[in-house]
Amino acid sequence: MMKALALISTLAAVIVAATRIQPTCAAQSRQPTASASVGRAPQQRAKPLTGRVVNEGGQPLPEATVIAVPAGTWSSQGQASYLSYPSSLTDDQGRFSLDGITGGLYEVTALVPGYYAEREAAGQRRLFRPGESVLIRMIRGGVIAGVVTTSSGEAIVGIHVRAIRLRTLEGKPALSTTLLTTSYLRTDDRGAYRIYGLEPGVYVVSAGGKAVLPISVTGYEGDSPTYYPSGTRDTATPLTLHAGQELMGIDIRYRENRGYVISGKVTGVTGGILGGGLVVLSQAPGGSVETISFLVPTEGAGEGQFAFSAVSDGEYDVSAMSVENSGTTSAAAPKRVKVKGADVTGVDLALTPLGSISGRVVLEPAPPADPKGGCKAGASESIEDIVILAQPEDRTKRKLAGAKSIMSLSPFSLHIDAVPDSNGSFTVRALHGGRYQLETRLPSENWWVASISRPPANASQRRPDVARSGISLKSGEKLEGLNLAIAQGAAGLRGKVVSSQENVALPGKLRLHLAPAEPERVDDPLRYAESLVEADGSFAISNLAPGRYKVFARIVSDDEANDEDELRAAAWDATTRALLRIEGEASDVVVELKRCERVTDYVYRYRAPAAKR
Amino acid sequence: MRIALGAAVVITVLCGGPAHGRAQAQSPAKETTAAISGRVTVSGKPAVGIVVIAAREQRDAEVLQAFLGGRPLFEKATTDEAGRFRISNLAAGSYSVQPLAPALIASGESAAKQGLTVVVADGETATGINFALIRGGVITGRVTHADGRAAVQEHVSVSPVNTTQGTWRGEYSLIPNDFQTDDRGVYRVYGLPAGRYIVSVGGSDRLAQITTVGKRPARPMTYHPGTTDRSRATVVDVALGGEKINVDIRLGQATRTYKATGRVVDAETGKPIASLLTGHTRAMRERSDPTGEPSDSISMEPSTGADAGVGSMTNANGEFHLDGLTPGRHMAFAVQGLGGDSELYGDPVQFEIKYEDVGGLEIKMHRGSSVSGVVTVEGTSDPNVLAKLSQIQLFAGAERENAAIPNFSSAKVAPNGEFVLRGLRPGKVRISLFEFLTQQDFSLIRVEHDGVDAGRAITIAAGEHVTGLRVVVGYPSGIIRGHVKLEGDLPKGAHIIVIARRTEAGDADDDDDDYSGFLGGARSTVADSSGGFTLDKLMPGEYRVTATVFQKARTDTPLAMARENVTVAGTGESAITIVLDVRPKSNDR
Repeated sequence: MMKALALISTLAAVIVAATRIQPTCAAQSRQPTASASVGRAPQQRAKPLTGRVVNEGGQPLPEATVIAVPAGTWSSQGQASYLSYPSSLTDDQGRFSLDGITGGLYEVTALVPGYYAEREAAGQRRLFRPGESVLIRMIRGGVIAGVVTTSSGEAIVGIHVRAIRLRTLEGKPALSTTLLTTSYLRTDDRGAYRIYGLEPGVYVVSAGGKAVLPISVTGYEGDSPTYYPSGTRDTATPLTLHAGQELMGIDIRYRENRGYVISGKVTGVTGGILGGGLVVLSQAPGGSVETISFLVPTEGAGEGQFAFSAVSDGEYDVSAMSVENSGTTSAAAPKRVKVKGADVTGVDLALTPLGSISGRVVLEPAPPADPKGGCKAGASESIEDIVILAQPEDRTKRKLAGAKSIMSLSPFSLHIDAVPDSNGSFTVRALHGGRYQLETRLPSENWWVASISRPPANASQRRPDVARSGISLKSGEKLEGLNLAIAQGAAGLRGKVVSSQENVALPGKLRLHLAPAEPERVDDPLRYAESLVEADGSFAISNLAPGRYKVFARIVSDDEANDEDELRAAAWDATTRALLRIEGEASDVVVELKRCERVTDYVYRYRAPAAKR
Repeated sequence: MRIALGAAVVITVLCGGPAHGRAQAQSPAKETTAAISGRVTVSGKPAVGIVVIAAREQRDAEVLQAFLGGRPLFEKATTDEAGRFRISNLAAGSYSVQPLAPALIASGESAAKQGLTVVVADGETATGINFALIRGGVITGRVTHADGRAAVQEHVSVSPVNTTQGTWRGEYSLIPNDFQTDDRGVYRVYGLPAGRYIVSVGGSDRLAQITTVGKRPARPMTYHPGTTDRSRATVVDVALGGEKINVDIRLGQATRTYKATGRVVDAETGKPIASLLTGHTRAMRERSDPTGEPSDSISMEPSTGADAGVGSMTNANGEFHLDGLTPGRHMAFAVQGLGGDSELYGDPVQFEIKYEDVGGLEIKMHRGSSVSGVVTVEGTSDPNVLAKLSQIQLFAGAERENAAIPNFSSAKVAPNGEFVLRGLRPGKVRISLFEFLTQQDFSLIRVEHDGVDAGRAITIAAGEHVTGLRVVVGYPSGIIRGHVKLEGDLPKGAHIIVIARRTEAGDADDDDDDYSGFLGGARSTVADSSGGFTLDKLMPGEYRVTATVFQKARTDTPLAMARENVTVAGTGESAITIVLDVRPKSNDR
């Protein structure tokens, strides 16, 4: 048994290493090409990516592991383990230098035991290119500590203890999980445990049950976990942990209850086992990942069975995903399972391949230089620095997907996005069926997205404009031939929003909108733009098509403010666009932006809307 | 290298492995009417709330499947207020019974470190399975960096100079004695027999690093209170059940490490090769296998710095980099074929780190040799068995002498039995069945080359394509039906345990006693009251069948033993009779 256990554990450990980034297989890495790229000298020697890792007080953190993951790795099938990404340890001054990496964008993250990486502001990404300097702030995590005892007060030694983050302090669903990082924590000979490095949030704490990837036999792996203070998940007392807080005395009186088993099979498995087939058990509702299981092949071709043992009473979502060597990701729609005093069998999931959207970014020729300036070619204007995201119309889909659950196991904020190669070719992978809008992050203020079109149904037709309609992707469809046209000579608008009435302050949260003033443009979502107004009234909008715009500002509702995904451009939704268009038409403020014009001192006078009748 | 190699192998499974399937022949539901009961005491007083497990003898594959399928690996019970336990609902069979109490230790030398082996028959309760334990000692302290910062998630090892009282119990763990510092740098090692210990932090146990977040700098082993010289370590004296506090360790500077960069090219065309996994290892140095077996000693051998590691994946220009290198001689290597079916293998490149970074390494990839042939099943022509041939995945790995550099290949077997293993490095190659997680039941009997038994290692030359290999596998469908003929009367409460073990050379697992608990490859059963027994699902081959009589469900003192040999064919039954003398033994014998 020990040999088998050793095997399991070795395997488990390797999977840990792998899933800390992502559970994909090594097939092909992103192919940064050596050929000439736009705006960059070919064969340019890559500069190192340098930077510092500091704590919340700005003090250097030595011996931090810094890892650079190529942007778009998830969608382009990166390496199997984070060990094979460029990584480095910081020196005494917290400095690091990652060399040996070629062009392109990288997501740079640090790992320091006991710390977590500062959450970036909504919409901001940790993407950097070689030659740039990165400052990574790590925050010392909070602590939850206590003792696990039997009902008669005897210390329980060597039992696994876990803290599951249910949501953030703001009540948003927790994106990251402590599932793997706290996987090995066990009580000592006094029954004492100490879970550290925790992000602020609302937690439940449990003892017992099986570690996701066990290293040791504890004797409690078949039990359903006992949640603090001494009950099932339903009766668990949630703990609010503030930044840097130490919650002591979280003592768990252990109740030895045999857990229930949720089992079933997964069909449509085309990848290998394990990495190719992972089943995720998450709490429903809430979505926090409880545990993962591997598929054990069964006799039927393309089938695997799974079982979660030690499950407490409660409601769960079971989802599955699989990744093939070919790069195809399959996912199964989650099944809702209710456990109440008995095993649940026959939870059958069907994997279906996820779709992809691919195409080319085409850079239109630069306009003649403008004497007013602002359109000089930047040093690093490469189409390889563009980031393309496919935003689903129904954003809840993304959260429910098995793929998302798996990704949330990673300490990295992996996004399903794509980075074009030097020819401009890109593929966004692992997409469920549905309607998508392509969003772009442009590296140059000179650029604006002119059009997004897809191939016509028959050759004689015009290329349909999908910027307006969105891209409809059938389940499993591999849509090709998209054309994303980038024009040069973009305009920009920066400035301040001030109150038009004296002694009347600006509302708490405002968003400044631009809507096209030209009638023929009013239905083109690419011509709508917006910016949140900062506390000091400042705003900035870049990458604008030259033209005339109506300017207006709206109060951001609490609902919108709580929306986790700030990236979404409101104008994409046809209803919202119509609304914005009407508001735009009502506005008498018009700004005309010429090619390459960068207005930096614009003042918008905000007038509060008339009180409701 | 273990990990890198392990990673590669595992990834082969993860990604290259087809979704094998096999009819998991569900054995008919067994009666579960047996039970095991006993008592656990600590220094003579009842040990309350202690989990006692009974683990059945299982094949590794079964353990894996149980594990992956979420089924418990054992039955268990918890001791009550009087320290009593009763593990019930057991099927008849042989179990290893052990309290899982990491803070407690066995009070004497005699106690089995893996627990007691207990055999139970249907409807029977084995009683009196008692464990007399004592509380182990504790060493606790704090580990800090030179600047006073807490050293978080550092592995602390305690190694006995000598122990005077108690026996380390061992535990079921891949990383036995994995004690880590917390966010304050505090550690607490418990369950220690009385004795004198050396406490240290660091070294390069790569398995232990699995449980930590991120990389660690190379640092020499540092001993309490803060020396890298073992002979100057302060020895910690732990009394029986005693606790030593403030056993602090102050770490020194991390060893300066260096980088090496280079590229991987096709040896023929000179073109760069992307997407290869690279790594480094100390030039030709044997490393011991971390087997995960519970160990008697608590020591982990001190070791210097990082001996091996994984580098970056090669980019489109074939470039890679290795870091964390300590001064000395190293080898850089590249492996392709994480998918398992590559034609390339790489020459390792030796280089030396002399207190500076090294650049310009070039690893050349060659078209590897191949071996091909056919897989045949011996001893059966059952079409149901032959139909499962394509479930086999063959695996070829470098033999021991060039094993330092990973090279392996795996291949699926076609329904007609044909296979090709590509991308092999010249030298000795060992062929095996890839059994891990594949749920196939075949096992390798021998490999023939041109009709001659080639052993398992085949020597191949550079560029050679060895054909005509015959990989002979067996399918476990043999049956031994036997009878134990007793001379004399079976003592009351005694059992006859029958164990069949294959005797073929190369298959001898280890020198376990015939009646030991975990039977590495052997099969066992309990004979019925008339001495009859059946063992099924056996591989064809020569078996040594041992019948042993045990008193009172305990297997530590056999009353009588006898053995016979029998040949098991692929199909059909083999009969055997074993004569067992159970007459009371006189003193003159």
